[in-house]
Amino acid sequence: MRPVPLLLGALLGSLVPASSLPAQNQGDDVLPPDIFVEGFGPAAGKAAAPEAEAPALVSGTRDEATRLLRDPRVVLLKVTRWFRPSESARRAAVLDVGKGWLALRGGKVLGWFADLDEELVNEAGSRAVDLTARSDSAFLTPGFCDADSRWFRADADLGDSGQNLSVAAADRLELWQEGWEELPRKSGVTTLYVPAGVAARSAGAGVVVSLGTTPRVVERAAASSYKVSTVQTRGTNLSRDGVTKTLEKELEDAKKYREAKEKYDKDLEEYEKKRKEFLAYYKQHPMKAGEEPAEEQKPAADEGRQGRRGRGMRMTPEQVQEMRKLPPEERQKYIDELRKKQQGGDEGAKEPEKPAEAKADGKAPPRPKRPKEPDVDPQKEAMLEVLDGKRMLRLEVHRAGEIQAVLALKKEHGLDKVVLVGATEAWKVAKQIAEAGCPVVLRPEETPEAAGFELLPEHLPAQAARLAEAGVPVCFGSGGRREAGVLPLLAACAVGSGMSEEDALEALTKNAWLASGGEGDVMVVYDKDPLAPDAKVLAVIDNQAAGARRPGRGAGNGRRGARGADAGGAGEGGGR
Amino acid sequence: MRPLPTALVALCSVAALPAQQTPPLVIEVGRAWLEPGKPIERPRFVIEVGRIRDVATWKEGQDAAGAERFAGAVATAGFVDLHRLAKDQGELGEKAESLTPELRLDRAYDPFDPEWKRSLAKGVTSFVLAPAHDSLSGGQAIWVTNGLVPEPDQAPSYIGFSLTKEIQGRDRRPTSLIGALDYLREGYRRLRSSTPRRLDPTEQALASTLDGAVKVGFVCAQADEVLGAMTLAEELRLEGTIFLGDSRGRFVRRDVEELLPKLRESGLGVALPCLSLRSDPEDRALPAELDRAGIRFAFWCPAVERGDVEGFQWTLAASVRRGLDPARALAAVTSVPASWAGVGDVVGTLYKGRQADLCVWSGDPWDLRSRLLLVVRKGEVVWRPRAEEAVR
Repeated sequence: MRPVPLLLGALLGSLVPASSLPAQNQGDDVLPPDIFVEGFGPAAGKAAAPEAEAPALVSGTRDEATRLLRDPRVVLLKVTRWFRPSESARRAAVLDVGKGWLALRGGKVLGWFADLDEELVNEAGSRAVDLTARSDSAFLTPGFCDADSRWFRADADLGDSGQNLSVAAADRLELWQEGWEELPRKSGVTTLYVPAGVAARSAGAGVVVSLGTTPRVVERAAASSYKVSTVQTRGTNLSRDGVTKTLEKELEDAKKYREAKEKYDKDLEEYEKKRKEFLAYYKQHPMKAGEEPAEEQKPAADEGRQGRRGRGMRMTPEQVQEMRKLPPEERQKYIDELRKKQQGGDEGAKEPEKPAEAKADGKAPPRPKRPKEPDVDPQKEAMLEVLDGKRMLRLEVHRAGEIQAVLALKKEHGLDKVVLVGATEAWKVAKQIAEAGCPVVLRPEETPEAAGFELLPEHLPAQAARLAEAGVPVCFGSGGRREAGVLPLLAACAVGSGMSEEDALEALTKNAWLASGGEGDVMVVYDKDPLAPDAKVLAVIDNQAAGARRPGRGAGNGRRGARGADAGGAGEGGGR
Repeated sequence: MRPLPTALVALCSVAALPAQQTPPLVIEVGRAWLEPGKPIERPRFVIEVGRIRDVATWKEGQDAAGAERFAGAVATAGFVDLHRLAKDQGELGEKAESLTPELRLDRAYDPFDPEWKRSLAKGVTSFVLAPAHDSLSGGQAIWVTNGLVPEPDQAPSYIGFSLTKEIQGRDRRPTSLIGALDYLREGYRRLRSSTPRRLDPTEQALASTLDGAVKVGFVCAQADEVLGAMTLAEELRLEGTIFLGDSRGRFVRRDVEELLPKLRESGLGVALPCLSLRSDPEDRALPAELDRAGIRFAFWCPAVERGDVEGFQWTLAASVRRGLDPARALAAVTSVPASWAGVGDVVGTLYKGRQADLCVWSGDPWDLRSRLLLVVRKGEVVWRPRAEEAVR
């Protein structure tokens, strides 16, 4: 029997108009940030659960629930289990929450209420959904994230090899592409990291797209990407210098660019100061007619150039006319004499006369010269953001030696946010990656046999398990569009290779957000453990302020505004 | 000193001792699928001389001597690959002649190829060695136990007819699909000659398919090839299987889907290539679709490379996730291919008397969280996870 799709969208989007709810407390600001649940969030005034122990569920009070429900976007949900991704000092955990109701908003669980009375549940009306009635093992999890998707991009754009770090994906998105609906409904994948380009060596900011009722951009300036090597890159003559030379040069160039900008800022400040003095002086000592202010001395380099330019022979039009009057055999003689005369004249030339009547009293400040502003280089600007830790940089790199070289470069240049993509031999240097704190995005790569990679049996999931064991935040990317449907299968396979279920779910959610530079805000309810072979999506919960965001229209992160609706989902096995 | 007589006496006394018998292999698991859809709880398999001598149940506290117990594990029959292409295709294909149905594939079989070991680690205990796809008929596919020298003169499982574009070339016939079908018809037409004569080996091989003694395996990668195969099978009343996919397992699914009603009418079985990480959602849904359409199907697996995730377990999990009944999925890699290969009473199930090919998993094999714990091939433990690979 196929499960009947649950259309929470209709319930939440249409049946509960915002106007029917109390007018106050409809914004984020009036709600306490993290309310009451010990073990769920940093509970105000309550001690946090010890990390080593299973988190204790502490129920919120009825008053708190009532207060929460004043926000029309808050949904009450009854499920059996909930996967809570890790947060600061708290580990990821699968929690039994079947005895109470969870309050949700915008992809976040706000709290848990053990004994909500029927009256309050009834009051919530269609915003209270009991999914345990549909499956006694209903499982709530943040929607899964494909950390390397090709959705909403034109193939021609992705294949553009002329891109650089300044090209952003947000400007080239095609959110009108069709067919994405099956990802949340059949595989529970609700968040995608979409890079700006894949063919060029570097590409600018990617975007994070959330798939709820409509695809919407939740992060416009997500990670940028840089290709240090590919699986096809030969591993011979591998030297650290060879691997990272180009990247290092770009980092150095960006630093020089910054120095030039800083120098300009300093010079500009100086110029402003001098200009003020200059103006002040001439305000007090107005110039007479025909008088001109003294000029600032030109730099020596300019003088040199001018000197070189003056070395040639110059003839006035009159001299040319005179020369033409002469018979041809005498013309050369005339030119030679003229040159001799001119050269002799230059050697003994006096300083060019200063403009007449220039202020020469020694007190008049010279007219300051405005410094030349360095040309704006968007690529270097983007690289500076990386250097300053404002932008994440995803480095595609595969061999163990290359990874080590990149990690050394990261340390040398103090790069904070570096993500390794591909990382075919990451398992060999897992400890070093963990120490460097780099997330790793694993993709199904076709590694040519000739490339000579050292692979584990069932390499991709086995490597994920090893990296997780070493403490590396590992996640998966499909490198395609519809292929994202296999991500839960890959995670299940990683569990078979020794990864814990919590780590596998973390890889599909939190770690993937971490490697993308943006978070998803849609939640999914499965009829059982999402990694079980026959797990089906019961519901997709998108109660975030929604609205498709088109690039170039000032789309923010969509946190406010129109109320979201939920999309119902058929199970993976059904609906065809 | 006369050491020699003493040594002789000692030698004679050793020779006089009764021959040391190998103790039976006893394996106990939490649950086993005797055949897909027929589970048995807590079975004990007693294995002797390569066969399952007995299947009983065990109880907690009753330990059989020498039994190896996997209390929470699941046992299935070893997987049977109905169409295994050797990695080195050059050795298994005739380059000059395209129609050579008389060749026996087992004669060019190297049981020591490391590829077979990789298959064992994925639970494949036997397979049908299939002819290369680049000959119209590369020869007779022979069932072999993975990594063992095959029995001589074993009956062929089927004769392979490849209709894919891989057979077409300028140097030899056929050069097109229509040419391929005509070439086959021509071969069969010669058999109908009224003059009594001695059949040459090619004719003998083709003749064996007419009376149903040997089945045929059509290899097709797109709809027109499937249509051609069905037409030919109907014309000549051939029985067998359609293997979808070229030598890398690629085929045009969309066209083939439209042929499902015709396929069911034809009575031919369908063998699907293993699903890969790059398979479309529709590819993953095709097994369930075939099942719903009432078409019998099995899976075959293109060569396994080191590091590959893909294989039968991945295929089972991916198709179960898309709605295929787990028992049907398991049947498609055990009992169905065994039956189609003509060895249904030897392998593919775990009944008493069958060849002892079994796999022990930490859970159901269609759950990717389960891992292989043990592979027994013909009564011998041939694979266990190495210490560094063993988990949980």
